[in-house]
Amino acid sequence: MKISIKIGDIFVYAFAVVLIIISLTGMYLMGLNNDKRSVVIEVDKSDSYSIEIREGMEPVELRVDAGGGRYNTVVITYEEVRIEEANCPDQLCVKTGAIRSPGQAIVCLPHKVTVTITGVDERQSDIDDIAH
Amino acid sequence: MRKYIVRTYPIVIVICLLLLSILNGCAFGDKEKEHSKNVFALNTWINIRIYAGREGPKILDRAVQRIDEIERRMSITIEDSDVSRINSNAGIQPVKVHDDTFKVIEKALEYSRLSEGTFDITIYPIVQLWGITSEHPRVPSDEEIRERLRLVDYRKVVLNKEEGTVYLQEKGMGIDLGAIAKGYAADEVVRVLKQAGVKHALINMGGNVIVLGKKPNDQPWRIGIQDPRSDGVRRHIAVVEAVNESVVSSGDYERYIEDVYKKTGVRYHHIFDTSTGYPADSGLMATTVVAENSIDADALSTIVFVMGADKGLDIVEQLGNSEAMAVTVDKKIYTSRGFDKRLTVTDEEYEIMP
Repeated sequence: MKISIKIGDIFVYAFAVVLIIISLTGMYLMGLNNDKRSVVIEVDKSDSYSIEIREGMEPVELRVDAGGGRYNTVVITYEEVRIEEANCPDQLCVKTGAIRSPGQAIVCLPHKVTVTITGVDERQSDIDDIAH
Repeated sequence: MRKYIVRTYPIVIVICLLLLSILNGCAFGDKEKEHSKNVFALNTWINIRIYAGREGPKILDRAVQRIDEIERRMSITIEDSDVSRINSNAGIQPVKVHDDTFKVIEKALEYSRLSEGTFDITIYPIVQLWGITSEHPRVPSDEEIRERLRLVDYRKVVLNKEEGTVYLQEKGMGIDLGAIAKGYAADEVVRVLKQAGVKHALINMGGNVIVLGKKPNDQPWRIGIQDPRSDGVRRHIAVVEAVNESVVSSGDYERYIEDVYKKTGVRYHHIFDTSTGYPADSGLMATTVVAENSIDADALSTIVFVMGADKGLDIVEQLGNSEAMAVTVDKKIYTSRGFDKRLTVTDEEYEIMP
């Protein structure tokens, strides 16, 4: 059977795509809201680790296995997050340096590893209120 | 051609509806978030911040309702409040009051006895005479003060538990619950919030900070202690971490006769020494009390301020239901035993004394 697409069809599909984007963005934003400040590490969009950043926490060093002997070593402290070492060819993730605030990310393209900070930064205000 | 369109459209529509319902599920799901409300009551600004699901606004309304009730009963500016009726019947007859009012007066008298009259709700004739918080405050003569001071005596407040009545024995006497009503109201708000299942909340009642639970991120709340010499600027000199507690400060910096201060450098403020009839002058600029119950923190912050660092902090330690700090005019901070460890001083001009 021969398939021909009409203008109306394009509208319907475009409409569907727009809805999908709105839905996904909405879900993403909702997920971000009122969350604790956390580091989310994703490997090839399948594996995902989330570590909460707490005041007074011990520094965490994580060796992220990207498969086939490929790895990225992530160091997480209360102040900042960085990739300390990796055996990727371009070393861009290491050169990115430290990230600190929600919304920032480190990406290792060769290993398909992303390190992002999500949630709300409690450090933005040092105190919650003043007694007077 | 026609067939193709008819076959495809339903599928597309179904997909759209599915995605929309997922979106709705997220947007209207009962996730906890911050709800906040400001009200003007008890002669001050009150902010209530809670973390709750979609019922948040209703819970806030209930809390505000409770504050309104307490205000209607205890306000000195509302003509038919319990307090106004008690005062206008001084030396005439006992007045039947609401349970709220009775409880607060009972507690106030308890603190009067504990502090041997330093804390005294019958200070009202003196408060009126100075009018510090009124539009026309003035420094009265010694004679006027002496005359009014005669009427200040908590032992002349007669409570009758069975009847639920309060009686002031002498004509001209009057009570003012300003140093304790906010504390009671805060405790009641916390009760309302707890009943509604709220786990995290911060209430600011005209500077009294009350926290329920920890922060939503499971950290203790960090409460700043106001700089008593910042000329009204909201800045802090120290920080204390609090969980399920009230942090209440009193001081000479909040309300005082400004033009007299500008001319003479003397700060006639709103916290009176019941033994002199003058604003308290115990060498302190400010005190802060941290207690589980806001009513205790409220009363004790005044008591420590009037009594001074030594005696005031002694009482706090004896009672054991609170912790406190006192800031002297030369910017030294004295604390009750162990409280120095909870305190982080953030202004280097101030120093914690051993």
